[in-house]
Amino acid sequence: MAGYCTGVTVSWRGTAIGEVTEFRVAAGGSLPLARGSNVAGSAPWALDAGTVELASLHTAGTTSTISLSQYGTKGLLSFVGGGLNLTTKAICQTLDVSAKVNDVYRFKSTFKIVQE
Amino acid sequence: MSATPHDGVGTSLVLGNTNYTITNVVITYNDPTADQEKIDVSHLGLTTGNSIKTIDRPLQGSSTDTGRTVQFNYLGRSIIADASTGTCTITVGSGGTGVTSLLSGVAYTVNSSTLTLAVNDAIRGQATIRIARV
Repeated sequence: MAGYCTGVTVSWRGTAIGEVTEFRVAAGGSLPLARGSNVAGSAPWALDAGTVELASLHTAGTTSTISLSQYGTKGLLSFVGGGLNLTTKAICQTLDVSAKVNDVYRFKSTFKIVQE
Repeated sequence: MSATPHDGVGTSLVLGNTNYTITNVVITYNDPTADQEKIDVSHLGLTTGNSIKTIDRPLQGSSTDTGRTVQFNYLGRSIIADASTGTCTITVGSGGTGVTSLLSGVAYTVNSSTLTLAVNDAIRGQATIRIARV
């Protein structure tokens, strides 16, 4: 039977992101390459091993919001709960904060999955 | 057994002391405090069985906006003045089964009003009035 998308906690660099309304994880992309090694397949790495798109609410400027200072940083991104358990290393690539009259702040961010 | 549907024959609309020859009436009730008027802030962290989470909008509607309007079309030679006020009474004709009072002496303010004069047609007016919550 299909599982409900409920009870999910999304964390970025150890801090839970508040009020996540939507996310999408698309793994795959660049093939991992061997880095600085003569042994094929050792220490594989890829800077674009997939994309994560995230949408959330929450109060602007709080630690549980993806803020501008997170742009370009690397860390662990995890999705836990509701039958889901997924953790990946990622780089925060884009941040989009929108504000509209008579509405709440809405955040969108994308991450590139890093393999190293 | 389901009730026999009734048409609107015999319905009357009176603004102040004027009984209009109406051809169409649309009455709209809209609760400004209803959930669909709030911001939906539900998120994936909620668990199955929780209620949808909403918060009030930061800005409120005009204090004079009651959320209730009556829009009607009429035949007549005069235009209803915008922003005019008074009391409104609507009585529904029920096809020979008696009449039903829908609105009785409810305060109103005219939101908008038009009068259309066209070749080979009757003079037709249309108005939308905002009525008080009673």
